[in-house]
Amino acid sequence: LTKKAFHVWRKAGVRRRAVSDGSRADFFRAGGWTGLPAGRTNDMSGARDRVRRPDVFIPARLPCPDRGRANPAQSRGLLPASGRRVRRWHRVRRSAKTLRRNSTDPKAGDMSTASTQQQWAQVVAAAGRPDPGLDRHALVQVAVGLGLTAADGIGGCSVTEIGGGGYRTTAAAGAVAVALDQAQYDAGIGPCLVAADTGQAQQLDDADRQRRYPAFAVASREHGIRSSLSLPLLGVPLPAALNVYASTQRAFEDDRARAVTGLLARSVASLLRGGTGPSPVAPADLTAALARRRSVETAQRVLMTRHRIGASEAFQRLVERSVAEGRSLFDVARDLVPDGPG
Amino acid sequence: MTGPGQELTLEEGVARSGMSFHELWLSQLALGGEAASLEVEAYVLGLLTPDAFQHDLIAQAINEYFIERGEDHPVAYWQVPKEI
Repeated sequence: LTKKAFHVWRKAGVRRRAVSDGSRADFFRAGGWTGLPAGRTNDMSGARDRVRRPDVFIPARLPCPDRGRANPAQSRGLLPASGRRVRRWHRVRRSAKTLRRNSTDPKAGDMSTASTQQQWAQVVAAAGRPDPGLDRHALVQVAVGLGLTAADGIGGCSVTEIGGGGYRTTAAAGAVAVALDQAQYDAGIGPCLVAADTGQAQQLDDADRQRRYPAFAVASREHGIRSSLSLPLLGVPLPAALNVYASTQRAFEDDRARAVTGLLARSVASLLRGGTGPSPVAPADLTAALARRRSVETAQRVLMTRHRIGASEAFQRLVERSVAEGRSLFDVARDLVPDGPG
Repeated sequence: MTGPGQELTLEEGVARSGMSFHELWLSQLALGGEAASLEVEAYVLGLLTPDAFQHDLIAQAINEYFIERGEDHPVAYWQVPKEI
């Protein structure tokens, strides 16, 4: 079946891509069986659970079997297609379409899928607004799963904790995470332990070739890992770190990959310490911000009463004035309420 | 005024300003925002999709930073056209 599908694909002209030379590698680069682009799988989107993978390859331009029939109206869709093969073609094409729709949109770049977004919303909301009734361990597990989406080529994400005279991995996602953590625990040194112990981020752009942590380099080579980032979890009861392992070199040189991992580390830290932590905002800054907020809210109320509009529309009008006048929104608000606060 | 072609996304705006996420959170709090710090960060990174109001609130918070430094609203809004 594989061989047949490959030849069908070649004949069907999927070679329209400039990069394609019609080889088997191109077959998979063009999406292989699923029509998904290379490097994108549907495991992260949960599509595998929702939709059965089509067992027949449908290239994007494979003509329907009823094309070229005696009655040309059928191939133009003017007459209903018929026959077992035609019905099967439509059925499989529908499931392939659903699979593509449920998987990551290649055009969306870094945009998350709906289910990934829901997981982010869950983790971030739980981390920001602590609730004693939450299952924190389950949420940390969801968070490390999200770590796999922080950049391309991430093969594992885990949380390391140091305590009771030993080291342990409290949550992990991806096949290599536990093995790489364990290699560091056995050696008694590694980026995850240093990050947890010192509170300093450890970024290795050539994890498999660096000489600082020889045992980790050996384990990285074994598991095909080429870069890693370990971020300390600050303010948690025991020294801990979030580790992300990638199969590509310099995966964490990208600002976005580091920013997403950083957000994840702060979320996990917040979950582990139950949401409470030292606020990095100085009390004076907070007081000033709240005074400005009162001034904006008063201006909003003035607009709401004057124009009989809602709060968000009143805010929009303030923004419009700020843009039109090229001034700060706080100045615009102050003008509306000359004797008001702020 | 910044031309339409030069309008920045939230992520680009934060990157160009160099402001920290805590500064941004404080700024959106001053404008009336209610999102937690981690939520604001997730909106900026595109991990969560804000509604129009939330988006414009964060855009304004970043733009305030630029206005203080003599630039005119470089970050694009969701529902406020650049030229009114």
